[in-house]
Amino acid sequence: MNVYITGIGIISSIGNNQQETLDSLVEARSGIKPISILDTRYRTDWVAGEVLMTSAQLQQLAQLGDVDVTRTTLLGMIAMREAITQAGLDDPASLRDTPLLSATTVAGMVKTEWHYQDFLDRTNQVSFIKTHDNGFHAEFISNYFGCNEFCTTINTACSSSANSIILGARMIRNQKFKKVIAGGTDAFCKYTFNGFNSLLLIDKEPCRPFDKNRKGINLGEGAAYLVLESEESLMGSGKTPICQLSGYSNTNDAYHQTAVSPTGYGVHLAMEKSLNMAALQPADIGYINAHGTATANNDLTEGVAIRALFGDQPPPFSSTKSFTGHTLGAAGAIEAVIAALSIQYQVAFPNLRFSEPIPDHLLEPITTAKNTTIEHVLSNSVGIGGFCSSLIFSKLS
Amino acid sequence: MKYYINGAACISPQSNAITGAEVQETIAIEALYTTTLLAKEPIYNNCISPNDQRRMSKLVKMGVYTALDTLPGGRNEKVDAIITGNGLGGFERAEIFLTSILVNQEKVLSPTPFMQSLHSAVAGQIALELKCYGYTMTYAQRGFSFEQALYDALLFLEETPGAKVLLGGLDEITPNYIQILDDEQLVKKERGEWELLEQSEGQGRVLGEGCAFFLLSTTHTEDTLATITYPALLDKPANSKTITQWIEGYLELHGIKLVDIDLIMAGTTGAIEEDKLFNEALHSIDGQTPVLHFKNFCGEYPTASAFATWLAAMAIKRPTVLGTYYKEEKALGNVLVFNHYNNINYTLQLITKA
Repeated sequence: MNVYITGIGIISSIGNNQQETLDSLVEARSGIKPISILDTRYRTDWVAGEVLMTSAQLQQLAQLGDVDVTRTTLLGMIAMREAITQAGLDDPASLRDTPLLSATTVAGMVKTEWHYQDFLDRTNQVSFIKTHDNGFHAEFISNYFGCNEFCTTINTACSSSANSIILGARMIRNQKFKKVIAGGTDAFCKYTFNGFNSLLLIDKEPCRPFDKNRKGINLGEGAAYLVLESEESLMGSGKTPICQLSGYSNTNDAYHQTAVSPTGYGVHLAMEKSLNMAALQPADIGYINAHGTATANNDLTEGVAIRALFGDQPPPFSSTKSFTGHTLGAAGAIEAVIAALSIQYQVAFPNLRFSEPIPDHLLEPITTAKNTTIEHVLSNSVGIGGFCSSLIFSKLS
Repeated sequence: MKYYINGAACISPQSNAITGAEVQETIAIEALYTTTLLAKEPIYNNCISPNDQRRMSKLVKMGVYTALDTLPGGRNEKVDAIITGNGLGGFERAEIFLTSILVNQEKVLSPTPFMQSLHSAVAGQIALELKCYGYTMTYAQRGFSFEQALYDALLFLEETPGAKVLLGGLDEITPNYIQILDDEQLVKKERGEWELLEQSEGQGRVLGEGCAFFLLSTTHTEDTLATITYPALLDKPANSKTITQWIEGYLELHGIKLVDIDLIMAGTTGAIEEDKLFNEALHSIDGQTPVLHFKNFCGEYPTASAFATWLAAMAIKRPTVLGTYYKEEKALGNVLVFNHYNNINYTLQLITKA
């Protein structure tokens, strides 16, 4: 049973919608800049992929009046609206039977971290608990757009929204639902910035995925949603899908809480199983959008796995985290949308700031956008805790 | 296709003697007369090293212990998927990390509480303990978290008959969390005149915490406790009539009538306003059917219905675990778990004698 992508929506530091995103990728315009929106001691000196709008401005862009929602929710609203509009599903009646499968890691912590001291001091208290948890944003967005049939939030750290997409595909393939909306959202906040910094995983400078001298990640923020539909759902609609989701897999590396195994076993397994599901050979992949966080461990192990699976002639590949930063819970979906754009426009996107390959695998990502025939795109996501997910998007057959 | 519960274990405010995988013959559940029901944690030494215990959050410790307790083969058991539902995450560690950010002004922080605060830490740690390279997932949608994990588990079994899935539902609470909810007027201040939640006429919930895990498969074994099926989820119903129709629809889907239900495990919170629609719907369906209000035994938290699932599976095997709260002679055939969280997440589960 085929799963079609009929709508995509995206917001990140490289654009507020798919067109802006595409332009940035093709023109090699990075979204990673000195921190300016988040009020942190690391402002100005350190970098991140922020959406350069205040939350008040995002609230306007989200077309929301005076309602108390978190930045995570606002980003999600904006991306959701773009996706369902493109898929022709922007009235509640068409969404009533449509699950919303969302994902996040930050959730409302972006607001909680501002009010927690007051709570501890028992002064000037602002209520934060209603918006704090993972599920708030999905409940709000599903209520707003009328997709209450099945609303969930998945949290598997950095692979979260790739797993939303996988659940959506499984629901369609097993004929539970005819169409679903899947994706995720995460806002930039002090909690996660300091979390990754305490693990010594953050690069003060713009990150260098797959480079021998990479020093770690830059965090980013954003949201993306994809509308997945069955063939039956498409019939008679007159819609032309963007692409198909032809393969996927969720595995666990089961090696260490924070590091991937030296052979990238879990990633290798996820890529292999996705190829098997799609009945494809490695040589059929036209572009790999790697997880490529630019940590010492990830780019080494993911690279080893890619080399082992794809051999001497891997396809063009890149980490677009060099553009957007690591958008955590939103990364899987943001990179899925980028994969869909790759198929639609037949372009492999570049990896910024690469100069020397990692000696262990000597893989070299492409450094400028490449117009080439792309039948299938492979996208990887790896979450801290061993969660590995791969997705394969394909040109319409 | 039938789905079997072939193992179940739990950590809850109830005595450890009845919540382990070994079903004890003589002990029954007890309603506890406090306003907060904290989990009675077991001694973790047998399965978690002292070093690891220091590092891990209560949530992760409960999850690892219970998951291992659920599996007949313990750490050597091979499972194909580990799926958890967890509403609040590692709340205590999140507080610790957040406080350290504030106190240390974002400098020189220990990473351990950050790692342990993540919702996904539980499933990740269990995969590590079991060396499971399979499908691992965590759902964090408030009062739907456990049922969505259950849904995924059954979908996985539907796709891969013969597979083994480890399914869990768990949440922890902290003194600060209780204070936060108390500030929102959501917590009962005192036990008052009433003995059981369903008798309370006041506002506020009795908060609780706990962890329940299940081994699910499409194969009946000598360890089989009960069968389980796809849950039903209903979001923010407008009135009790909608809820009643939804319940009737669910039972019809499974080819049973209300009279076929031997016991309803009801998720009454004891908060009169919050329970209003729930109670109306419950009264319209209970008829002659015995009702057990399970939050008397586990308290209220997003994944409390996982405790009810555990209790239902146990009770089907041995009704005496219900003590004086179930007085019928007949053995349990069909147990309906009917729950709500915040009067927004309404869920149904059907657990049946295998």
